Amino acid sequence: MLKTLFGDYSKKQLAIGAVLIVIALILPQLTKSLFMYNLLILIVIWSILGMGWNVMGGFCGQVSNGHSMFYGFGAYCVGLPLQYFGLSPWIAIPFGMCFCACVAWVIGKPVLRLKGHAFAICTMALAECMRYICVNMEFTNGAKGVNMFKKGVNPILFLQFKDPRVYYYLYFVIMLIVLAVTKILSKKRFFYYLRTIKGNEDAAASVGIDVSRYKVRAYMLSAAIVSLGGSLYAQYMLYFDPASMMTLNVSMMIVLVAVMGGIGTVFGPILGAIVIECLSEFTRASLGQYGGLDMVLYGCLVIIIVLFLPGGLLTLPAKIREYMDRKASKEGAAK
Amino acid sequence: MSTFLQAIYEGLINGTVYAMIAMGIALVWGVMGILSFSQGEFLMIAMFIAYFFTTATGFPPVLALPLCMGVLFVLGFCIYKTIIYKALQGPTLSQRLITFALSMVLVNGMLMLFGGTFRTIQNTGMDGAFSIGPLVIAKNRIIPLIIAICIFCFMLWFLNKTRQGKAIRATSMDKTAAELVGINTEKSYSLAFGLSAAIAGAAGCALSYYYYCYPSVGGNFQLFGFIAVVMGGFGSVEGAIVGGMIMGLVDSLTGVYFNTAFKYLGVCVIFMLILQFKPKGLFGGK
Repeated sequence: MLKTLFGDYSKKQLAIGAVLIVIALILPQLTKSLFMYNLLILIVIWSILGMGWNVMGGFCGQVSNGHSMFYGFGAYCVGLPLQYFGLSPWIAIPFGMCFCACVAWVIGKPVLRLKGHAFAICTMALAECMRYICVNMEFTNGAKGVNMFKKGVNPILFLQFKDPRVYYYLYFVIMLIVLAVTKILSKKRFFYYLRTIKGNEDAAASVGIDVSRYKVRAYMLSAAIVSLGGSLYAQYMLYFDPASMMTLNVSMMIVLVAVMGGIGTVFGPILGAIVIECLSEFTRASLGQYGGLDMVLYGCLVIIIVLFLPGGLLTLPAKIREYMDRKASKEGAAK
Repeated sequence: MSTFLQAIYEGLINGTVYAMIAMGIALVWGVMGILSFSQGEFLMIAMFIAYFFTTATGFPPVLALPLCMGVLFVLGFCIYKTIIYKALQGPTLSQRLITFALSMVLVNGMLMLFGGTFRTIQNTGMDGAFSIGPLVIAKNRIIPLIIAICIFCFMLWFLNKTRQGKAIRATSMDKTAAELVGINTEKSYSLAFGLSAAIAGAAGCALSYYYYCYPSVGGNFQLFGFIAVVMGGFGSVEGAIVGGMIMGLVDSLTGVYFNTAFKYLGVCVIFMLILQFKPKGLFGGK
């Protein structure tokens, strides 16, 4: 197991990884601003979401634009049990993951028959449909959302901490676990099947891979991870409402996180989440008062990055190297 | 019975707007294979143009139609030349994300310039209603209907009868083959993108008769447009029109007989049912 986790990397790369983890652990100790804590926590949550989407969109090639549905369901699965039964999130979060996997299993069969844009539109419509249902049902508190703050509960049992750094460390560990799971799975037969399906569905079927079954499994796994992200977000905010959680924008942001980092790679979503969250939070903090300017700038930056780096930010070093080589060879030719 | 008729009529009127949006989406999809998320934002910009035209001059919004379509055509053309042209060399997913980011820029740009207030056109020049049999027909919905019918006829004529329209269709069927017989596919692409924006412009002008305009108005119409396109058959313009009409009908019938909150559920159910029996859409026989 350790070999599948670390076997691919040279000593140098492992050392860099260790240094990065140490930096991530020290970072919240260096600052006292709530803004930075918030940013770090959001980065961690969005990396989990990106990794979840990546299982489906990146490895299996089925681009869903409706993952905000699972994000919202994940949040509801911790919020509603707490409200009705006082259930601890330690039980509710795994329950939510199972629930979302079941939902994915039920809708997976009919939806996954569609391909390309049609699949994206169908998932988008489903997410929108679920949003309307959640907004209009009494059971889910409607558009008021769910308030999860409870006074005087055991902080560890109910995951309600005063210090945001505790959230950060806890979520960071969870993210590392998700990362390790993705890394191990990416070496397993399951993910090789998914990559084959991405490459060519007919060819995959012709070598005996049960395409629809593995697609549904990928969808389930992806839904479960995104649901985990939703639960963690709700647990951190202690409040959420469907109108802001289950929108098309959130779905697209999840896609963007994975695509910007590097689609179908293990570390891409983390890089993407760091860039996306820094862009959006810093533009909002500095330009937020000009109503809309921050989002205009953010959108422009996204267009530029996606336009010039279609393979994601992970391909940036290779691109730079290629550029340098070309420049060097040109200079060589000039001489 | 009269309620039913009325609901069908209103559904068809709403359906024309969805159909126009869907037509633009289907055109871009069919020709370039891009799922364009900026179509709803073109609609929104056109609504703003119609609104400012009417408040500034006092003329009814229908006179802003050439202006809306012209401005949007130029905007679409420029967007194609600057962004989409480059994006077409990248993967499909990046293209979709780029149009999405573009829509974000457009929505928030309008928000920044004009604020988020809801605006309605007060003096459309068509007030009141008249009745034919059991139907009550609001006058301010007649003009949008006429605009929509004109646009449908124009598009079908353009795509089927004119030389450039045939070139666009040929490009959408097979780009390489079209290039081999001497079609300037680059021109087809830019024209198709501009035209789709112009259709959204016409839809916005029609919609401004009875709908309020605000920066994020496009989102809902766009989603319905997407669903209409898939329902009608991928990238087929005729299918998009029929799909849009179905969307309008479902929209108004669920609103009348159940609850407006569940119109998306109704739309989704119909959508899934159609796709189960005809996975390529109603008109996607190819």
